[in-house]
Amino acid sequence: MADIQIQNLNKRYGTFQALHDMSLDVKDGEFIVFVGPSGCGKSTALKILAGLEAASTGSIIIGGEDVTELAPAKRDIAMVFQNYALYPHLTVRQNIGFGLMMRGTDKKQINQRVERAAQALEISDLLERRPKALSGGQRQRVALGRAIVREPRVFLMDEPLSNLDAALRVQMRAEITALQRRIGVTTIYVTHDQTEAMTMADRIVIMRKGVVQQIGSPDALFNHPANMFVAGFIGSPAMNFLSGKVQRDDRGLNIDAGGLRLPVAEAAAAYLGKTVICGIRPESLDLARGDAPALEITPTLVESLGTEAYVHFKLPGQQVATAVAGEHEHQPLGNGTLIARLYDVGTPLSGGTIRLGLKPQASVHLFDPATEQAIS
Amino acid sequence: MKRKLWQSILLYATVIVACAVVLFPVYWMVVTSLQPPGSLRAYPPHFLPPDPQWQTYIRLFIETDILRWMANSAIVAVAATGISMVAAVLAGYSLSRYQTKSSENVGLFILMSKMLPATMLIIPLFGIMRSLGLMGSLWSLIFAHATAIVPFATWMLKGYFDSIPNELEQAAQVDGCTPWGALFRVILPVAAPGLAATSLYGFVLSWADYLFARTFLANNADSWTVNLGIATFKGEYQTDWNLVMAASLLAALPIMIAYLFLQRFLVGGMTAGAGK
Ligand SMILES: Nc1ncnc2c1ncn2[C@@H]1O[C@H](COP(=O)(O)OP(=O)(O)OP(=O)(O)O)[C@@H](O)[C@H]1O
Ligand SMILES: [Mg+2]
Repeated sequence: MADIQIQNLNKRYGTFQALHDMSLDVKDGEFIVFVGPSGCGKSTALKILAGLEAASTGSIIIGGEDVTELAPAKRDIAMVFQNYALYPHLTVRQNIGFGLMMRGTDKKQINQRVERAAQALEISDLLERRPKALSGGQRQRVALGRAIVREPRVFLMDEPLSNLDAALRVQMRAEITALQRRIGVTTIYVTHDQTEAMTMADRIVIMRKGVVQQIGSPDALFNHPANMFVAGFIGSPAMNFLSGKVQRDDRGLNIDAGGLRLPVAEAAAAYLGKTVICGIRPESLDLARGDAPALEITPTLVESLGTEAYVHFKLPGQQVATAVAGEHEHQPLGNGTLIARLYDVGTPLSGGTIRLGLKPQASVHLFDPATEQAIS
Repeated sequence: MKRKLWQSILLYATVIVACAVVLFPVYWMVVTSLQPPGSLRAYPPHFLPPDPQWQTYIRLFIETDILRWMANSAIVAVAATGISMVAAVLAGYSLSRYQTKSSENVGLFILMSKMLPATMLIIPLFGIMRSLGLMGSLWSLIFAHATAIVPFATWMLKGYFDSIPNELEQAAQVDGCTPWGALFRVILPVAAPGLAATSLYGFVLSWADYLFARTFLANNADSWTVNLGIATFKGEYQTDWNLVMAASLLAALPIMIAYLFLQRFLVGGMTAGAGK
């Protein structure tokens, strides 16, 4: 068990910079998730931590010891690979015990520990099989077993659940979290799935094109995104972006976004008279009650999920969503479509217009259109 | 899917014809080896020898040095294959894993020597062996065969290594192996079918060679290989074809045995189960 300090890490492949000046302090026993779209450098960062790739500059300190130049074998870490990387010529027992054997643990103890790990992962009856005779979920457990049996200082996991079906993913997600809590090993977990990040992490590191965008707890990232990218990436369906002018009337600062009056905090005063981008989460919208000011919209699509419904609509002149769209799967709508997530709709919504308003306690996130940074 | 009857008939007919075409020469060798030399040109030919002459095989062992020649061939083939495999495994692995701008060119350069006809290589090799004082020694043939085996073996093995995911040796390294340890404990066992196929290729190439043996060893009857020895049965006026065929069948035996022995490695997936 150990804490980790990543200091000013840079990685270049030729002229391509895969990691820009990454710094991070991980506390002992913490569960950190690296999240970001494909190609943003998550795996690269993990491989540098493991010692499988050399850093161009920067250093890595594990448990107070500078390991930047240390071979992977000497770092006392365990890694679960994106494609599991089980040894096909060895049985499950030998796969799990391989790391112990390499470290010269005696046979009896290897067997004991392998069996204990197998029990924890419920794969005791698979120990004599070879990987090719296992299902995807079983292989995943073996890969986990290979990591936990060593009782390393640090776990590194690179999208270990990405090859599993949805139901198994949810189950394994919970199991991995529980396992990590129980043994308390510092863990860095890579995923491109924001749901995994939100449900598993103590803290999330969100990355884009090799640059760390924000580091914080799931709640902090959800409630106080540092920029439009984070705001759009965290949360599903993704946050709606509208543009509007900051103005002041008798009830205070507000923005007129496509006909909806959005009250905003005094912090936006500096932008008075200027156009800013407002981020509104789909769940912040609701059917307008009574004659309160509201948006009159015509749904282009209603997706009903039983307890809730996603209402897709467009507002004339609002194409802001394209700013970050297309970069990841949670922001698929590049055409300025907005979404409201409505609960207890009652009567089916179809055809005709509906009136949407802002929920009373809903927060409106403001972003500078030039820098895409949050205004606060 | 169930095959229709006519499909089955067609399938088996094709297989039988193919086998007949491939096996007939071998069968004919057997028949020839069991007949007196004179009856080779008999018309109509005998498809089953009326009076099998088994003593031809006994003559082979008594009157000729076939056992020594086979031993020489075996020494050369095993040594040439062994040396080549060491070189080709390391070369193929580094070409597969440590890709630099030059590695592509080096790879092509290695292959180029394979594109030249063997007869062209033999002249410089002759000069080299003579200045090394290896003429007439089995070593000359071992090295010559290795030069012929290594380029192609390197490429065969590079292909096998390419098909093994990088993450396997990364996992091994995280598990405590050095890069060499990962190669020996994980990559080579996983590549076993490739190693088997490549060794077999090398062994056959060496065993079947006549040209190099003829060039380097002709003057030293003690180091003749089996092909060289069999060639001396061919007289100026008359050839004992039954003896030639009997010896040739015997010479083919080790290849068949090697093939049977390695067969289980040659079929079946090798990396199955490593990944998703
Ligand atoms: N060996 C390499 N040579 C050149 N570029 C590389 C190399 N390895 C990775 N890259 C580049 O570095 C960037 C980051 O890659 P990385 O594998 O870290 O992405 P990732 O965030 O893990 O993506 P994914 O979610 O798809 O796994 C990518 O643009 C990739 O093309
Ligand atoms: Mg990756």
